[in-house]
Amino acid sequence: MWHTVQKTDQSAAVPESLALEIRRGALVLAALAALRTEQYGYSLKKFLAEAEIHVDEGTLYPLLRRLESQDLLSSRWVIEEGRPRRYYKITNQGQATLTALGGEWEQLSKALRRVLK
Amino acid sequence: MSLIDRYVYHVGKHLPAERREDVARELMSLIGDRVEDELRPGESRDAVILRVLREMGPPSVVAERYGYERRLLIGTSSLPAFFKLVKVLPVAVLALSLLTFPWQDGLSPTGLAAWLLRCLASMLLNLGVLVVVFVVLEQFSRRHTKPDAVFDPSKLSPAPAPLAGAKPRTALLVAKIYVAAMVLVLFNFYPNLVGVWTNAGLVRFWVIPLSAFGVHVPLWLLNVWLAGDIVLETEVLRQGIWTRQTRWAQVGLAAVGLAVFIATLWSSHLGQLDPAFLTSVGIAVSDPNVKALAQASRALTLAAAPLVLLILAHIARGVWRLSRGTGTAA
Repeated sequence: MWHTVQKTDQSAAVPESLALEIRRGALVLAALAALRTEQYGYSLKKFLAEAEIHVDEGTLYPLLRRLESQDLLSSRWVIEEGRPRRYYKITNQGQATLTALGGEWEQLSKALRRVLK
Repeated sequence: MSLIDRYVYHVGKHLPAERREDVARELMSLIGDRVEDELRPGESRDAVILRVLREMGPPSVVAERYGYERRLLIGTSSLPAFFKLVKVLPVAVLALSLLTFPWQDGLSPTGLAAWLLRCLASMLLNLGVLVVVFVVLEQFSRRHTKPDAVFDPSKLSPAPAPLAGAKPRTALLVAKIYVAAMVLVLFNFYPNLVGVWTNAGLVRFWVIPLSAFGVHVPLWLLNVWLAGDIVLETEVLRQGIWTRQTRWAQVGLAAVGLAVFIATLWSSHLGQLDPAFLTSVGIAVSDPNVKALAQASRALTLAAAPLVLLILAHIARGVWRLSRGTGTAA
């Protein structure tokens, strides 16, 4: 599950399934943006956590595989500290998708702010 | 075997064979990173592993996130095997349908069209049967995967030690499934096509074993054997590995096969062509058909001995394989 650290009393009252729906799409955007710099899975998880986007491995890793199967990410195995690690990086196609999704996000965010006023 | 190995093995059990290794490698890496990161001075490494695994959740749940199991009638672990069989389906059905091709009617457009329609209907029927077999296997395997109420990684059973020749040969399995299906269809629906040519002097006879005076095949036993064989091989294809259970099932099915063969010979009318019997059914001993049947009987008896030995060798090979594999790892 992905949850923000700073949960207010109001957000705690939101049914988890509804909150998840909003977060699911945003996680793709966050992962693509974070992977403009090559990272392995666990470092990406920590990077996102530092940005207060907490996501568990069971959600993040299948998402990375799905994005890779859609050619939005590429990966390679590297042996580091005696342990194999899979490094992910955004592809050109992923970069184009990120730009388009970022635009969508900005537009939606502005529209929602207007609606929520 | 470490707790991480056991956990990863149990996740892999729910995944398609071709994705298992890659996901396992990634999970090992992830768990290793997380354990290193969360290990504090003075803390037991095993305790951290246990905590990390508990937080990750039951293996079936982790695997489900990789595969969206619940949305599919046939799970992701079974889909590759299912598609392998579906790909071969048209060829197998066409091969079987050639036996019923109306050669004697010539190649008239009407006859050809009717035959093609029968092929198409047969393909759809077989596809339906395949879907049903896979859905049943899937539901059966899901029912036997009890979700853990309170997940305790330390209670995960150890992974079985790999058996000798544990990786199945996919092409061979697919071929065996279709051959078994063909034999099943032939004996049940086209028994008149199952027979042997035999000579009686200068006359050639087509002897149909399933006739009153031919070989009496215990059809129900044959069906049980073939259906069991199809289910077993489909399950091995689905799992992507031979386990002790499936190897034992293979040995058991070979024994059933031997029983079918012996029962066929034992109850065959070919071996009972005594004059009294023939007279009682109004057939003269000098009838050319009787001579033909007697010849076929002798040929069958001669062929039986090496076949029995072959099946026994097959059973012995299965038992030997099982004795070589340790079955369950520590």
